[in-house]
Amino acid sequence: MNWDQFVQLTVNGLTDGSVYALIALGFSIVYGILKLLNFAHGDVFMIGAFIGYFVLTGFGGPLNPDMPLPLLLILMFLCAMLGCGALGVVIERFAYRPLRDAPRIAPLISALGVSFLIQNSALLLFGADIRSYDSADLANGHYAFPSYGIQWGPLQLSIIRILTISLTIVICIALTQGIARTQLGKAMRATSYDREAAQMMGIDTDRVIASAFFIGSAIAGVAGVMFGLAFDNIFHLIGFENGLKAFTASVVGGIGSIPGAALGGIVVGLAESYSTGYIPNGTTYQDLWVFSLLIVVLLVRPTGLLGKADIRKV
Amino acid sequence: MRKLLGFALAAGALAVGAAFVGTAKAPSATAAGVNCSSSAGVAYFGPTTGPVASIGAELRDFSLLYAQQWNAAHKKPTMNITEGDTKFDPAVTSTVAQKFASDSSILGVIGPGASQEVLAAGPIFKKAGLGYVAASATRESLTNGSLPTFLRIAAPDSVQAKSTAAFMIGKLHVKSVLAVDDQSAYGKPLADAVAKLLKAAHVKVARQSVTQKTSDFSSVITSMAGDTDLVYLAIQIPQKMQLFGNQLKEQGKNVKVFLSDAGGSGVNLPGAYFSTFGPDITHYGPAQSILKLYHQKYGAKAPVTAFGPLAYVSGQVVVDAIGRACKDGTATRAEVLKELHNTHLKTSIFGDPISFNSHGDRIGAHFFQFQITKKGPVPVK
Repeated sequence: MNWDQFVQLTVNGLTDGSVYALIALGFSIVYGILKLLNFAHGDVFMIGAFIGYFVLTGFGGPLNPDMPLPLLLILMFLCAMLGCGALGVVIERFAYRPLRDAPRIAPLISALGVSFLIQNSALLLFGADIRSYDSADLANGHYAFPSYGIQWGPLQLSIIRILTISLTIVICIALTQGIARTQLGKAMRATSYDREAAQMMGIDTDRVIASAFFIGSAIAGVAGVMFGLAFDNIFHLIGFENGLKAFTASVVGGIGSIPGAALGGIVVGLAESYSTGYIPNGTTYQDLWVFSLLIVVLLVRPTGLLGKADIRKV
Repeated sequence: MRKLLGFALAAGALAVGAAFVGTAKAPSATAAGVNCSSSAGVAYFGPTTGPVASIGAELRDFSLLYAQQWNAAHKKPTMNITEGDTKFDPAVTSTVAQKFASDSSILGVIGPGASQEVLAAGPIFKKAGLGYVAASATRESLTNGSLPTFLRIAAPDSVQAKSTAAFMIGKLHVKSVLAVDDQSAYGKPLADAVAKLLKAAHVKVARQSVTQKTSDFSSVITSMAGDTDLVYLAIQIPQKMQLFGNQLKEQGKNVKVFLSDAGGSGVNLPGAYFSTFGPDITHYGPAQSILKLYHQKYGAKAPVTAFGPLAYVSGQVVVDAIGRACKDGTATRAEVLKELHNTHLKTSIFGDPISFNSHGDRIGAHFFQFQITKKGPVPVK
């Protein structure tokens, strides 16, 4: 066993997994409250990546930013969060709320429709070209930023990877604590448990659901910017593939569970990384290994790693 | 029962109508020849949008430039241009090809861009007898006789593989190589061919395959053998090459990098080499008037890579062939195809003469090696 390789593969997997985990959180929040598979969520992530890109290039680009780099990064994250959060609320208001009492297939189809709508709107607005964050140039710009090449024991890693992994941990803890301890979190749990009863107890469930969409989509915005910084290339179809992996992650972790979504993302990311590193032709059949893992997990634990079975009145 | 009968009659009428319309537009109409005394149909298709849109735009603009020059000079017949966007997707390519094949006014086709698109259009154009000339499709098997209406300007991968392997061994003195392909009809056979030649020269070769959607290469790089001294990327998307190079640097892997032809499309990895089917024409005297026109039409910053000049020649070959076939006022697709094979240009935008062998390969086509510097690519002798 080559431990240096193992550690580096783990870091690679954790970076990929962090992005999946953040997208998966949005799937889980919405599913937890509405029991809705929001297939448009991956495309919200894609919009977040574009917002980050336009803020980065709008303020001078990576080589010559108009402001100190940390400030620019914060601005990129903030704009992506606000933009994606607002988009999530709009999607909920116009595509899902009118169908809330319709048969469950209707909002599902609506979600697919919204996904294509966002994809094609992005194609129309931003074109089909691959855009690049050029993160490597951050190291050469006015505000030197060690975007790669930090030696840490056997590890060679970048600030961006550290940022991606640590930000994911912070967001997961904040979200879990927020849902457990805040007024809104309690309202979300109540709405998730029984929407009608929550309404009768005076909870404005429309507001709670809109807030859940805002939070989930804002986190997808963070994931979009992280993806752009870590992997450079963005275009209008990145939401589909990453959304699918993140959805897999939320199912592996136990859909509806916040820690489960995070764990699922990390598991999927690590599975991809280890399969590339240790299985012959692992890269070629990477998706085969990831989805085989999904099947195995679901066979052993149908509710996912941290999911709980629904209790239904009979 | 009456209703059912009514539906049946309506469906029958629709079917007859559709058949009539279909017959009217069927390519068989070209058996007798279409009237092209004043105008003739030429089509272009390529990856105008999609993941290689940056290359696609250059391919399109250069491919259609000659037809535009032809029309501006009021030569007869006037070229009526029909365009299709393949989106770099074989399924979309088939649909576009079918549309061209069904339009009897189209006598010849310029494009598409890549080998997988050529393969997708092949059976449709073969059935329709429609000749098509691609600038940059390099897969070896495209000219093995299975696509009798296909011709290309670029040299096939065997030529690229031989020159690439010879360069790696002779100039770069490699001992251990990682060859990575993108699982495309272009990338995989090319990487396989280079790997085979290197192995024959006793160079240690490891192979990896990624997909065109892969967004992170870090685990491939981590798994690279410690003694690797060169990474060869047979990948079609230049941005993916850039990312691979950046991630090599991120992990502190100090190895040489050799890129296939997309490496000439804006990849900024100083020190890396790439092999391409077209020379640098930006300072080639006879090409300057065409480049001036190109920049006037598409802007001063419009790219000029190895793809553009070859695309220009592909358009020139098709338009000239249609022009010759239409001399007597009518032409069939078979006549145009024959004229495509009869092409004999003494020189071209990049100085080489243009003619084809019976399989559709350009006679004398070869590859060129460049090294990327901070000021851009420079030819390597």
